[in-house]
Amino acid sequence: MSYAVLYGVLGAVFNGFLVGSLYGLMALGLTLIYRVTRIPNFAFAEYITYGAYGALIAVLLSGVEQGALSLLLGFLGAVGLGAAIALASDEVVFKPLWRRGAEVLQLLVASIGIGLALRYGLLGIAALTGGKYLEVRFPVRYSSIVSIGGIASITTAHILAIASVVIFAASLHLLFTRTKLGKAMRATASNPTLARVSGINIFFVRRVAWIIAGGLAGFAGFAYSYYNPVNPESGWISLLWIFSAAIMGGFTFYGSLISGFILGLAENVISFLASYYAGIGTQYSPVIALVALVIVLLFKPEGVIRMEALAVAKRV
Amino acid sequence: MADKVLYTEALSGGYTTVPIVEDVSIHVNKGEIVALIGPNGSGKSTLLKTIYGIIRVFNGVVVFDGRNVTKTPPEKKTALGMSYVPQTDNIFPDLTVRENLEMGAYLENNPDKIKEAMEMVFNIFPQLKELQNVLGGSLSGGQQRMLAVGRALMTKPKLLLLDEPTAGLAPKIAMELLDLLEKIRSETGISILIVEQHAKRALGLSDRGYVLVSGRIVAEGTGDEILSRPDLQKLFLGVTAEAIKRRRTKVDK
Repeated sequence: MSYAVLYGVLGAVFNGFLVGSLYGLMALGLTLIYRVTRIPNFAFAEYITYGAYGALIAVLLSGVEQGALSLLLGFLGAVGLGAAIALASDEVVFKPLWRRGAEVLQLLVASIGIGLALRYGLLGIAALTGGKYLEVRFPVRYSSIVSIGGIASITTAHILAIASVVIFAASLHLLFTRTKLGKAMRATASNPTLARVSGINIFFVRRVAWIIAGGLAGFAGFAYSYYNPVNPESGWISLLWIFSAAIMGGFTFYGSLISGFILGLAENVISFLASYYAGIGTQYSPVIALVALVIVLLFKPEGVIRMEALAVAKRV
Repeated sequence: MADKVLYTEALSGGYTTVPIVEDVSIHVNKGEIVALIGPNGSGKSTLLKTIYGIIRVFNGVVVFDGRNVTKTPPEKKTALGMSYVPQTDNIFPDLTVRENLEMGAYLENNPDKIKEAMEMVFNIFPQLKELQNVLGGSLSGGQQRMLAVGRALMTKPKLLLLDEPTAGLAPKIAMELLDLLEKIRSETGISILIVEQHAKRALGLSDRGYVLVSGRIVAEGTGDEILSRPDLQKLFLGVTAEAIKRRRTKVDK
C-alpha cells in the first residue's frame, strides 16, 4: 500500500468520524420522534437544512462574523430554528392528525407533505433573495490545522464538532438515565398508555421530544454547513443515511447513534477506496447506505445494533 | 357508607355507543379483597376500565373514598389513590425494574417516600430487588406480573384494580402470585378489586365476589355462597358440566 493510499484512508477516516457522528445525532433525533410519537418522520431532513440556514441568519443578523461569539450565535440560531420548526410541524399537523386517530401510514404521508412544503418554501424564499442564498456556507472560518504525528492533518473545527457530538450524546445519556423527565420520555416511548396512567403528562413529554430532536437536527445542519456548502435540498439528501442508521439501530437510542457513526465511516472510507482503485466517483456513495438498508431489512429487520441504554441495558 | 372505599351505582359503560356493562352497583369495603368473576366476554375487564375511566361512562356514578370520580380522568384517579394494573402491556419493557417502579411513583416528589414505597414493594416481591437493574421486557412472565403489581403499589394506593393478573401464567406461578395478594393486604392495608378467570381460585382468596354475566351483576356474596348455588355452578363449570351431563344421557339411552 502506497503512502498516498494511507494518507487518503486516514483522511477519509477523520472525515468519517465527523460525518458519522453527525449522522448519528440526526438518527438519534429521528429515533426519538419515532419512539415517542410513532411517526416515521420524513420531514426530519428539513430541520437539518433549516438549522444550517438558522445559523447563517443568526450570524448575518447580528453582524458578528468573527471569533467564538459568532460560533455560539450560529449554534443558538441553528438549534433554535431546528427545534422551532420541528415543534411547529407537530403542533400544526401531526398532533391534530393523531388526535383524529391517524395511523402510521397517514402520518408518514403527512410527513412527506410537510417535508415538501418546508423544502420548497425555503427554496422559494432563497430564490427571492436573488439567488444569493440558494447555496450558503457558514461564513465564519474559525479553525486552524492540527497535524497528527506528521501523517495526517485535521482542523480544529473537526475536533470541535466531534467534541460537541460527544457532549450532546453524554448529556442525552444523562438526561435519559438520571433525570425524571428523561426516564418519563423513555417510559412514554416504551408504553404510552401506561405512562399516562402513571400520571406522566405525555403531551409535555411529546413537546420536549420534538424540541430535542429538532435541536439535534439543527445542530447537525450547523456543523455540516461549516464544512460544506448547504442548499435547500441538503437535508433531504442526507435523509437516506439517517433512515438507514435508525433502521440499522432498530430505532433504539444508542443503536442509532452508533449505526450513524459506522455508516459515516463506511461512506468516506469505501468511497475513497472505490474512487482510488476503480475510479468510481463519490457521487455514488449513497449506494453504500442503500446496500446497508437492504441487507438489514432482508436479514434483520428489527435492527442490527439494538442498544437502548449503555449502562442499564442488562439483558438476561 | 364511610367504610366503603369504592362503590358504583347503576353504572353503564362501553367503547362506542353500545353499553358493555349495564346497571352495575357494587362496592368494596376498606381492607377487603373482592373478586369479579364470570364467563368469558361477560364484561369483567370492561367494568374495571369503566370504574378507572379508561372507557366511557354512559350512566351511573363511581364514588371513590367519599368523592364522586365518575368523570375523573385515569391519571387524576391515580393521584387520588386508585391504582390500576391492565391485563396486558402493564410494564415498561424498555425500562429497568427499578425505573419501572420509579415511574409508578411519578407523581410523588418526595425521594424518601419513593424509597419507602420501593422498600415495601421489594419486601412483598423479594425477586424484584435482585432483578432491579434488569430490563422489564426480559423478565419471565410471572416476574413481569409481579413488576406490574409492584409498579401500581408505588403510589401507596387505597384501592388496587387488578385485571386478570394470572392470565397466561402456569397454574403453579398463578397460585404463587395470588397467594401474594394476602401479603399485599396485610403489609399495606390496601383494598383490592380483582378480575379473575378462574372462579374457584379467585373466590378462595377473596372476602366477597360478584358474578357478572352479559354485563350485569347476577349474584354476589362470599365464596361459599356463590359456589354453593347450583344455578351458578352450571354457569362456571358451564361447558364441561353440561357436556358431561349430555354424554351421560346419551350413554343412558
